[in-house]
Amino acid sequence: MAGANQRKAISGLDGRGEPKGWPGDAEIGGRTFFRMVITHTMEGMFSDPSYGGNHEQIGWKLINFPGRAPFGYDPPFSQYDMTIPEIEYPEWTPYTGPMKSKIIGTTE
Amino acid sequence: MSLPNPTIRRPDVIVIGTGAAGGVMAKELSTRGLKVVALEMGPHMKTRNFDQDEIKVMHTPGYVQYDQPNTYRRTAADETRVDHGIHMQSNVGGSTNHYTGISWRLHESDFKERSTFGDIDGADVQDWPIDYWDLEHYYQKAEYEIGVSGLAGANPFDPPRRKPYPMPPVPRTSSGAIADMASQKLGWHSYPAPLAITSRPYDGRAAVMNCGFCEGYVCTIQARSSILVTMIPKALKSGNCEIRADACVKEVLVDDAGLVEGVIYLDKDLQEHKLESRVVVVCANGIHSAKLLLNSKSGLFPDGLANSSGKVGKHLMFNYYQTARGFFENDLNEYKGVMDSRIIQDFYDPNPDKNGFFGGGVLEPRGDGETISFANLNMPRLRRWGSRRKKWVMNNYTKYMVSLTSMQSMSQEANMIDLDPDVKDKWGLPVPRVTYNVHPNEHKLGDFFRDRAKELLDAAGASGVIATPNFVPRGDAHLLGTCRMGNDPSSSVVNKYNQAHDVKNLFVVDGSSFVTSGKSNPTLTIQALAFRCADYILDQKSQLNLG
Repeated sequence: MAGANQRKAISGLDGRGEPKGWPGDAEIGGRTFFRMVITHTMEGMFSDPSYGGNHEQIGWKLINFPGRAPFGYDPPFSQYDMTIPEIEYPEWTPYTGPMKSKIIGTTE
Repeated sequence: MSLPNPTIRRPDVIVIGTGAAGGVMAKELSTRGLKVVALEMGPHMKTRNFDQDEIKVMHTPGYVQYDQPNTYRRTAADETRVDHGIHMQSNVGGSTNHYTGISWRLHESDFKERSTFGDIDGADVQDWPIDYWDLEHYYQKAEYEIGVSGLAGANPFDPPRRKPYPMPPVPRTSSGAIADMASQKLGWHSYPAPLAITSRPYDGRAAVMNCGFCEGYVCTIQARSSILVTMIPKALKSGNCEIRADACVKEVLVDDAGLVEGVIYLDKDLQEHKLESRVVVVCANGIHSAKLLLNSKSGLFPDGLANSSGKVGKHLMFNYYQTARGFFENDLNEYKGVMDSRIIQDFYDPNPDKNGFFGGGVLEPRGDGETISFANLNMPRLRRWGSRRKKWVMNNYTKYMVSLTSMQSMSQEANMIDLDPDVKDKWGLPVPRVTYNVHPNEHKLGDFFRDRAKELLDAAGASGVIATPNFVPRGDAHLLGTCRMGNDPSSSVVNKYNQAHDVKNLFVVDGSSFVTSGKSNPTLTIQALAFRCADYILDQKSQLNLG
């Protein structure tokens, strides 16, 4: 099928109501089936390559995701956390007033 | 290293559930000399069973996520349908294995909303029988024993505290930096999220490595201070605690005097076992604790154990939430770092005079690195397929953040769990039937906080901000209120020590004892209640038939 016809056929599947020619005795509707195909496609594209999809991390490279991070990352993580200054918080002083209730099992 | 798990035939105490509360109870009681058997409905998985794999962890029901159904109806007049709305893990450590780890203390105001704000139409908002000062010592204990990082004094709305956090905050993420910048513009007070995640080596565990496989995943280096890696090893090391996994409790048994005498549980092969003890502590969360009590019917307790008030299962609360998602010009790379490194509590305390409605909430700016979930994200005016979708995923995966707002839910008697009359789970037990509708106030809160979430992203210079609409939650990860505490046995299930009013050797400790929902993130409070209840049990043990 040519591109425009492909889109039309797929749009038919993703619409409300059953697509033309969808078997009346099918266990699931056309849209449910189609959504399942999309979900599986995304899983194939973006899951860990050990499942057989995302060959040589092609899906991850497409979106700039480096994949598993067994050793993690050191900051800065982006130009945002690198350039935005940390807020200076006031010095904290502990509460030293009386405890207004007893700790169970003690006289404190 | 795996610690030996002793066999204890006649425990002093049975703890049901090994999550936020059950793990604390098991550790406290066993290390202080009592023999404990902790029963867990799921398996005892180890850190090595978990990895950085979105398919396995996030999209395989039953691998770490609880996969049994419940049923749901909006009101008692509505039809019931099968649902999967209860978000929890059912293995040793419970949902602390995967939680975001946000660990703030409730404010003094949370415990006194009824006396401060009066009656809320259509809701049953009550004061707690305890206040912040009853918990301060136990919050501190939880922060140090569990391992919470944070910066004392950074949040001007925080209640008073006597000690700083045991660790400094974890590294700030991009979304955290953006929240800092935007909140300063708006005159708000962004501060480092108190997190049950290590920022330096702590208690034999490694420091956070910012790998980004955070909320929802189980930490592969034990930097998340989950019950599995904090309390469970200490309980086992005591030699006084047996963790019995794959043991789903069917019923709590009572003797002729109306005292608890043990439990019946089902093992993996659905074989029934009886385990006797003179103290039982139920820590199975806000859904399953109530369900277990309701399923424990006897001549003395025909409506379910400890239910003379009729309140077991009632007053179910979640934490209502809204999100806005903003897209930025440059990379944020939110696949790096913890889920949530900044919190904003400027709108925490209810202010009905100013806002025109009751309730409060928080902003929790955040981001994650899930790729499949992002590719499948529901976006307005963007199909799930085709070249526009592909381009959008390519261009935006590294460039967004989420402005999550979490709010309080109103306590309403009609919101409840009970036993579904028809549907059974894999153990052959009735599943919980959730009846839940929002209070009109919650949608007003939703509107208010959605606007604040957008305001934050707008101030940060985000474009294409997408916010969620108001909705009626069918379930949540925060399961609260169903065995609430109180001084009056006719309107509450447990007393202020989490001891059942009706049965002195039965305790219920978890989110179910919450009288009000707080604004979100109940775990630290659940843990503090558990440390406190353990002190009470040890103090009272001569009177509890411990022998």
